Amino acid sequence: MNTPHLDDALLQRVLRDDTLHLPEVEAHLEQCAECRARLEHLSGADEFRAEFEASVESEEQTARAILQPTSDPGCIGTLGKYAVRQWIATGGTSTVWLAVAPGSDSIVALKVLQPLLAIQKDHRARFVREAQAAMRLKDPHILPLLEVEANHSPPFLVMPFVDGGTLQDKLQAGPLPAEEVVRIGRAVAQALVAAHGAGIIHRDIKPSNILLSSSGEVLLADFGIARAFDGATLLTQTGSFLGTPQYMSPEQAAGERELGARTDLFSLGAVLYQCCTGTAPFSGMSFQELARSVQESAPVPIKQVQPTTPLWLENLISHLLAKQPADRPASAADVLRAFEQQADLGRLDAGQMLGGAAKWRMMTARWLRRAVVLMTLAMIVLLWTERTGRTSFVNAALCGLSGNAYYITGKWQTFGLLDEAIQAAAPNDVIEVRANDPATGRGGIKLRPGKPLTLRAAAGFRPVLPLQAAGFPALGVLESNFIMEGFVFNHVYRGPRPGRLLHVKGASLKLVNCRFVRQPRNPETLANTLSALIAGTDSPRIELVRCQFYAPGSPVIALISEQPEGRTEVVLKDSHVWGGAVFCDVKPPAHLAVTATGCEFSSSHVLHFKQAFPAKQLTADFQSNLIQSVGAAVVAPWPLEKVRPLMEWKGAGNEWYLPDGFLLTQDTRQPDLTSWSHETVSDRLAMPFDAQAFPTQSLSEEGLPIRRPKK
Amino acid sequence: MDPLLTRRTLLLRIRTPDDGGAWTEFVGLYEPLLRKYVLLRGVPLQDVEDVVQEVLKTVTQAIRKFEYDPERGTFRDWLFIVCRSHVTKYRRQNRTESFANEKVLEELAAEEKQADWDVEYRRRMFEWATERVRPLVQEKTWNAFWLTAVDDKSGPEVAATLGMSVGAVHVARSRIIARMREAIASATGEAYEQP
Repeated sequence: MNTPHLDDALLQRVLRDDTLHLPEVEAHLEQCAECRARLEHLSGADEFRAEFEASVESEEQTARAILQPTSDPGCIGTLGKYAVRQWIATGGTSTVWLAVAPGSDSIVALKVLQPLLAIQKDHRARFVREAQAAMRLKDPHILPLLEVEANHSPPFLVMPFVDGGTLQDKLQAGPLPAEEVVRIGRAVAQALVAAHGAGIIHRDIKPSNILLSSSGEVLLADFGIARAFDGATLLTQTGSFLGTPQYMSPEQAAGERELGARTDLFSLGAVLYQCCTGTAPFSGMSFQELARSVQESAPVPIKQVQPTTPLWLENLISHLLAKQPADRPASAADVLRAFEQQADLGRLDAGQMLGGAAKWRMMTARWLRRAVVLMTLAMIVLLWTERTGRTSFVNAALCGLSGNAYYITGKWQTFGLLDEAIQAAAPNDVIEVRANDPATGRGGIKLRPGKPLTLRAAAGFRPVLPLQAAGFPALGVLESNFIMEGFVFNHVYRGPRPGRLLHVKGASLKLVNCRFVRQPRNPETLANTLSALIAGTDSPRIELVRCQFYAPGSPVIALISEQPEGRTEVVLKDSHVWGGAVFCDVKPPAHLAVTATGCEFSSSHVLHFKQAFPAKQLTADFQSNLIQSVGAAVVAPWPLEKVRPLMEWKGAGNEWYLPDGFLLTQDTRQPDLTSWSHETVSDRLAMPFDAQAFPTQSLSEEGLPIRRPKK
Repeated sequence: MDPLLTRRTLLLRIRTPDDGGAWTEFVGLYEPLLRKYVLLRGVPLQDVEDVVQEVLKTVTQAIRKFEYDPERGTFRDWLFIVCRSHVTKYRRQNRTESFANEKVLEELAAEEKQADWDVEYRRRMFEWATERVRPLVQEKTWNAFWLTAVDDKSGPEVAATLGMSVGAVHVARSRIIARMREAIASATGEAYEQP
């Protein structure tokens, strides 16, 4: 040994610091097995290897597990009666092997179903059924299926082996020349003519399913298999979708179960697009993104990427990529003819390339033609002249025709129930309602995380949500940011404990121009303990703009926080509260900031902390409000000396009427705000808090009386 | 300063709502694993995301409420149980022709081999660690690791292929192994402590 052994401290430094480059250390390691072993040990290589043996082994090794052993030296195992020579590839659903058929010496490819899928009886049965149907197909451009080994476990398909590779391999090197694209397109179109004619839809046309033999043949493989596995074919080995371009049609992306033959035409279009430009037309970082992209966005026009592409081919590909199946070429035969004649299939409408919001802008002209039948001339004139009202007019017509009240702005569909609209909406969509008595559906308003939405009354409507049940859990459970505008919540309760109306969890809520009314069916039975109208659990922000609350005995907002550093901001603007406390707590957040501007509070308390006070800070900023509070404005169940440092109060321009003082703590009552701000409280005024005087006239009337004390 | 000891693991970090990055990381790590599992057990494509979200929700709620007890078994085992039960629940609620009765459901649940899950889980961990470590190191260093650790080639062979000294190959390989183990430990804090 030339140099002394390396000590652990040095080895650790070498491991930790990537920039450390010590040639003498490296030279020693080359010679000294002991130090190499030491370094390995310190890096944890043994544990690492033990843990990850399975993951670190290649796909091939894992796949080999299903082969039976063999004594034949040229083979790596047997599968059924076939002698397996070599592993070719593994995808999401299957592994492909090179094998030799018994008796003859013909080389075949065995496509073996993934064991995990094979054990699921209905998948297995479907696989076998689809494969057996595909066996009937005979066409020079369809890879024939020689055998379907249904009884083997796992089942597998036997196909002739095609030497050469797939279109996927070829595309690694970039886009193809136009003649090549035409050749491939023509061959696949012909294959589809045969398949569709036999009633078989491929469903999974992609470059790896298009084989290019070394003798120049183009063969389409894997018919019908995709149906058996839904999305499993989209998986990579480890389950990630990331960055994998796909060729599925919009209807497949939308999860449609019944697919027509034209879904294959779309996929063909996507493949040809990639052949021309070198990149797939749609991609996304997650399945959701990809699905959205496929359904709504238009791919970059081919001529921008590859201007040498013949115009007829570009038009044909665009035609194949139409979002609606009805807008694509009628059949594979038409596509084949287009390839043979090297001509496109007619005038193309750019609107067909788009979906969703983008489609609106393009489609109105086209829509008009269809709608002529339904609308009178006067309406059409209105449409053309009234630019800003155009979209809402269209929505109105659609709602009127369908009888559904809900729609998502910018999209075609209408919905009868709010549940359906929410289900169909994408994050940040705006759902509008054109009805005064909308139906919400059984579930009320349920918003899962990850789907922020706006729900708004359409212009000219004042939807009233009727809430009769006694003691139900919240009408609306909102776990994503939610904006609601223009609604009336009319809660007439019977039982002793009516529940919360909206509960927002971990998300923000904004209500604009909403009215909440809660009253007992029998005025004698005003309940003693009423839940708040709105509850927020760990909600970062609750904002109420131009809202009115008429709910004697019910607090408006209840705040709950489970977190030790919870923060909530409550903002009230131009709102009116008549009835219970503005706030109460269940478990207040540690940091609470309350802002009120231009509001009128005629309530029992403003801030009523029943069990605890905000642990870190309460900041209040009140500007230009009218506050009449029958009980103390702020109630805090702690001693004053604890409350004082935590409460910061800022106010200007408010009118205060506090018959019972400003602050009530566990041990004292503060009659005015002098400790906190320079504001003054007016002389004590008797203000009867009279539940019987609750206005009972019709709720649709605006301008309910506001009780101002006489000066 | 030992990074393993001072860094809080991902599982702990997702307890604090302020640490938004932790949640994103957590989901990024486990979502592909869950998705593959759910998909390969026959849940149709349009329902896969929902089921995965449900699993994630159960997991994070339990962690936040301290219901997951690291003393009683590894996170990997526990996640398997949660995932399997959600898939069973889905099957029960969406009885298709093959899931028509309880017996079939039980059979299917029994067929679930923990070993299969373990393999997938580790595979995902390895992939995830790769995603994090690979971009931070030089191409050559990474290749030295991959060729020796994964492709099982000998030190001198790799040294010749990459134009590095044999000693440098060993150093590179050990460094990456240490990084990968750190990355994984930072996620679960389990079983991958330094010797």
